[in-house]
Amino acid sequence: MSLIPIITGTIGMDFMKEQDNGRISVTAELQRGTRIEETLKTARRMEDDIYRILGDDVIVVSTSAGSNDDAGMSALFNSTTNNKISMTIRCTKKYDRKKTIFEMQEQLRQCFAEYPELVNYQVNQGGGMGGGSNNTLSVEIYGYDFDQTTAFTNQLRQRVMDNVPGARDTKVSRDEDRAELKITFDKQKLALHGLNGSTVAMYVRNRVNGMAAGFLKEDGEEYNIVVRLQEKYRSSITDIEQLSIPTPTGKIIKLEELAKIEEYWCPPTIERKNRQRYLTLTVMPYKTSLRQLAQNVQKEIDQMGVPADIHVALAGNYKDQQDSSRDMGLLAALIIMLVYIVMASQFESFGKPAIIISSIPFALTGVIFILLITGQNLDMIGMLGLVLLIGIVVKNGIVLVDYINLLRERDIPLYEAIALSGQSRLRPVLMTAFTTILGMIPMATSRSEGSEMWTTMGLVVIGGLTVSTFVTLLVVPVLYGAINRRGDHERQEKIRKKFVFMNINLDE
Amino acid sequence: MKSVLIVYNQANNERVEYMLDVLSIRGFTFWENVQGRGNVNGDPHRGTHTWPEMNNAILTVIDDDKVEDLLIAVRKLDKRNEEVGIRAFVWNIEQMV
Repeated sequence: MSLIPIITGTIGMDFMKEQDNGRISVTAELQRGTRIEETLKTARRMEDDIYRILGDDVIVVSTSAGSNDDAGMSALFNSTTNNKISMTIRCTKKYDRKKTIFEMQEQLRQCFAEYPELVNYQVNQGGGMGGGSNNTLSVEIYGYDFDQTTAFTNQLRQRVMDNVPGARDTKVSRDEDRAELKITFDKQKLALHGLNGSTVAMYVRNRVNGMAAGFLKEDGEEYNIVVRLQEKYRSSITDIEQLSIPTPTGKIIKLEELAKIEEYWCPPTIERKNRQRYLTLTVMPYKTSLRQLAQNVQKEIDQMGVPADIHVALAGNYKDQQDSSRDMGLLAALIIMLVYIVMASQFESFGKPAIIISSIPFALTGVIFILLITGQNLDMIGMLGLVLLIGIVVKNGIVLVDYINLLRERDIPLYEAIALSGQSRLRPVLMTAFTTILGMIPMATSRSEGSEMWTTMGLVVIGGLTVSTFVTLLVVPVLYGAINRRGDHERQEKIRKKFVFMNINLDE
Repeated sequence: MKSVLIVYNQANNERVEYMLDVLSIRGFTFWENVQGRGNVNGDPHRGTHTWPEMNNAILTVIDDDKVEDLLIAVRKLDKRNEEVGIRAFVWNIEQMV
């Protein structure tokens, strides 16, 4: 019965707890083709709003927008284009402020939702290497046709945003098609003028992107001297068409004579997995568990109906979480078996270990109870605590049963033996249980940075151990009494049969 | 000459040795870790998980006039804590080499 909250989802399941590390990262996207000046204007407004909303909790806001050509080193790591803004907000330590970082994020989201110019924005956990959250759900959409998969994903995203409670920061991994100019050379004309494709391509590149012509040395620093056309001569298609290309014969020829220049839309990246084109829709949970979110998203997918050419799979941390809970389940089963084997060999009995093992489900009751009270979700660390509990919980039973066994071997009647050992083992059982419980309290109540990770484990151990300790003191003696009630006579009968020589009648 | 066999809980080892010293009894034969149980009451001393305690035994051959003192000392030690356990048994010595 105690499993009901897990099944109904009152206690959610997460992969790892989100941590309040005092950093928020904001990414926002404006309409494609927005000029950098406009983007910056919006960025400044966002900064003002951040300071206004978060007040003294903010230490530093760092903003970057636009790109410094595509060639810079930073372009490799950040996909900043003219219409994208990325910000990192560093906040005060979590115990110095009233709001959690998650509440702050939610406030920012609500604020940014009112910006008409923002096409898309995400507010999530920042900082750390590799950064980002460790509690995201990604939906992988596989399909060959770009238009079809993109349309499907955007539709799904809209539905998730509209219908799924607690879905935040939805993001599609495939960027919108980017506008490019495509120069298609006429090979015959190139040959006629003694040119070839790569030379002309280099000329065009040097004129538009510039060419490093040498170094300027000043105060021990070297600066590249870049020669390129003035901006007014390279900013429109006509300008590009009018570029002058020198031929080997010394003549000058216009680019439009050699090539056709067209506007072209291309997808910026093509992601593949298992040789399949795919894209991902990532969703972050807010005040809901990962499992709950995944179930709701799956419901939306089912309602939409997936076209035959598209394959949809839930992945990301949700998949990790499912995999590791399956592993943990297996681990728990294995541990129970090992614990049973050890006890069976030591007690030289199959029944007594089973009595002790029967106290484990009550530990689970305690775990669920305490998670319900504190409103926490069960995550992987919590599951680790569960596995830990199996070992600790049987200890109470062992202490008790071992002593009953001892007294029974001293020929003390069953019920008296149970009563006596209950009396004498109460102290050690309570002592070991309370030392463990008290030892876990700092872990469970810690509020410092990064403590979110461990509180669940502390809570799980405390809850499970408390309930199971008191239940062990009742259930184990009762079961012991019930199982061994008849065993006494049978044992004496067996011994009598073994030493049959005592029954020989010598008078015959 | 009489022989006295003293069987006692290992816990009494030092006291028994002191007792012999005080009574100026020099010679004895000593067995360590012997098992046993009493006829009337008390816990068996078997060295098992159930009955973990063990006995030691001392056999000493002494003059007749010393026997009474030794038995009184043993009785005193037994009085001190009857649950720990000590017993003494006396035989006649027929011959000696």
